Amino acid sequence: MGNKGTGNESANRNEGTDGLPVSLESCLLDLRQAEETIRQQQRLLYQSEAQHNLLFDSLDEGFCTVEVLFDNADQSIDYRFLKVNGVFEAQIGIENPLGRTMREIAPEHEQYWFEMLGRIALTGKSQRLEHWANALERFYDIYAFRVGDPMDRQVAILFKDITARKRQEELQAYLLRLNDALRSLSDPIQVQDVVTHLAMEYLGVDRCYYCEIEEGNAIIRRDAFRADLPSVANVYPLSDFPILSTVINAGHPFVVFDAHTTELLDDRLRQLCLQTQAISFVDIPVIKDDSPCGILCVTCCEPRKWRKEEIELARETAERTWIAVEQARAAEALRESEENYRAIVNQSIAGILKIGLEGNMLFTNDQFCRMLGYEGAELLAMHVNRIVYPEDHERNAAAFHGLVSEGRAYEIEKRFVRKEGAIIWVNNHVSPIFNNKGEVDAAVIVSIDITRQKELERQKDEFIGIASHELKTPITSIKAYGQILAAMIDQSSVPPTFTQLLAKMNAQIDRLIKLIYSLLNTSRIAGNQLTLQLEPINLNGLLEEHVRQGQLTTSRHRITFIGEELPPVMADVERMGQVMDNLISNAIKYAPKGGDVIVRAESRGGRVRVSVRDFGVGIPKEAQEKIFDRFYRINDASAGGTSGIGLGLYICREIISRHQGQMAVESIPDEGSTFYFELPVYTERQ
Amino acid sequence: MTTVFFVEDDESLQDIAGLVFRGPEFAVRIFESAEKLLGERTYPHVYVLDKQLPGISGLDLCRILKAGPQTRNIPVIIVSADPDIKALAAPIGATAVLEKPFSIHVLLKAVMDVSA
Repeated sequence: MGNKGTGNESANRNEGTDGLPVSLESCLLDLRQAEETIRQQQRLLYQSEAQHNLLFDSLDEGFCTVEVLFDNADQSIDYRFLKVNGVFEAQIGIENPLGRTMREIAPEHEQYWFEMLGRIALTGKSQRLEHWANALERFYDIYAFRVGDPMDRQVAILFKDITARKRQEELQAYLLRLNDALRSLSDPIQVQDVVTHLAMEYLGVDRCYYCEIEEGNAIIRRDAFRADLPSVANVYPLSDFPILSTVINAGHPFVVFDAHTTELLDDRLRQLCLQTQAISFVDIPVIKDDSPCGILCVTCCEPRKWRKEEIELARETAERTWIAVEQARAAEALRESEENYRAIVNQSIAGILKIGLEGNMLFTNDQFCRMLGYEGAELLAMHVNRIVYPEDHERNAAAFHGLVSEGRAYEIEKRFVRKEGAIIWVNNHVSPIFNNKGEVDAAVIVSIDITRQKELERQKDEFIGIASHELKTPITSIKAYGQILAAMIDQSSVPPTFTQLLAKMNAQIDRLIKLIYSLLNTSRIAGNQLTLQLEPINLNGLLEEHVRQGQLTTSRHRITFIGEELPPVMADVERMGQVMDNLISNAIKYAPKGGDVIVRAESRGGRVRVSVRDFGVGIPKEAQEKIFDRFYRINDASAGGTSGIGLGLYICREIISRHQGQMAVESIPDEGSTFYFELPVYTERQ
Repeated sequence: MTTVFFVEDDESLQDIAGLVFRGPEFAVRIFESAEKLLGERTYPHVYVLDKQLPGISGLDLCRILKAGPQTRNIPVIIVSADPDIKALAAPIGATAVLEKPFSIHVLLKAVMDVSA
């Protein structure tokens, strides 16, 4: 515009001089000046043009000016390149475009482009857009605007190749969709279904499937395929399908553009592909830890020139499919395992309860709910103390404290209170659950309802009680008859054997009486019927008396009493005597070769300790606690065929514990045993 | 001579009583139930009662005897297989108790002690 304007101006001035009388010199001068002005103007123009060119060439975006060509009906049909900048070729991929038209260069260029540029040339309305150019196989971000005289129909185009960004965006969008679709799936078959359909749609292929490789087979559970094609879901032995083995062996994406011509396939494979209409395909092997796990296959029935991005996308899809399938498998396995455990836990005849360290219930199985008569949800909202029978709280709390502080498991028999108020007896095994720091985090309780056993036990005790009670009357008679007989025989002159046999019979009657007492005591202890006549006593006298009586029963042992001044204890004289007799007779019995038996009494703090020590056979470690159990007998010939029904020590310990005392044993096999008990010292306050 | 009224339903113990309390020092009469004894209008030096009797129990019989004007001062020995007999018998005025099984010497001694 500038140069044209300047030209007109000078012309006007010349015209203006035509009508005036001027000298030749001044005319020449004017002319020179005009020439100078023009040269100056031209210099400026060149400079401006050079600046523009420099500017355009420096752009990292492509730039060109085109002349849009129209037909007779004013339809834009082509455009000619008038000017291009330095990066034009790199962005468009066309060499030497100047002076050539787009139709010459790329006849398949979409009509869309011609229409758009025509519109801009005619209307002068600039346009910005992102669009795919098929012929150039690229995506462009374009800004096009009219330049120069509208009659010249020239359009300048500023453009940028955004193919890479576009493809990346599309890939991201696809992967996002894939992830979204996979996130909710927990079934491996569904995963394959969704993946193959998405990939088929996105890549625009005719078939897509995922083979799982298992034990020499390729298993296609689901596939996506064009409506007119058959499904290929099936199990294929790899040995029968060399194409799959070939893909696995390749170990990387196996890409065929055209099965007719590719050199990747030998004749046999080529025939196979042609038969199955797999003309072009991308097969991605998934290999984990050096072993093949799966193959993702995308197939077209026509030749196709797979782009790098498409192959990458297929590879990414295969990888994600494998992960999703594995996750679904793992989730399924976990679910199955959980179901198994749940079934085992819920079908268990034992009640199972998990509680927190505060006693809050965290889990119960069905059986536990049945045992307690509550719904699971009700139990979970309760503190465990609400179901423990109040009298058992203290005993239970002590054991639970040991579990929390030392992680020690324990077994306890106690009572629970059912929802409707009934009491049940349970045997509980309580074990700690540790967290990953090794601290006790919770406890699991396996609880067996032993109410019925307890009732049977009670009935048994009752029976023993009744039976031994009923035996007392006839045994009284037998004893009396024996004594009467003995008295009568003494007065006559029968052979001495008679007297001896009678004495033996009477001794056996006494033994029978002792046995009956043991049984009766046991049943009374079990039924909590053992009554004590407590009074403050000094044990020294009692101990001496029973040591003396014990010594009368043996000539092979020497029983020694070592006493000291003792404070009084609250005790039932008869029961304490029973305990001492039992301990002393045991000491004698289990030291069959004879030797010392030492009975010692000492005052220890607020307690009096009494011990009976023998140097006999001793007690194996594993039996030391059990010997206080009811009916427990050491099954050991070294005990020397000693008689008894395993009640003596049980009764002793129970008697001591009813005196608020403790009884225990220390023993080394073959060296002897020390049984001892401790009783609290009596104080006036009691 | 000491007269003993022995109330016991067990035949063998009745037999024993007959054997133990014989001779010049003792006269024994056996009653098989409390009811039979309560129908009796003579009184012994000592009652020996079994605790567990058909009908009226030995303990109730003891209460009745201890309430009767003619019998309240006659010593009563209660025999029983119940280990708690001591505690049961003391509050109702029994003079002595014997826990079964007992030896005849103990029985004889108890009778002689209470009748002395």
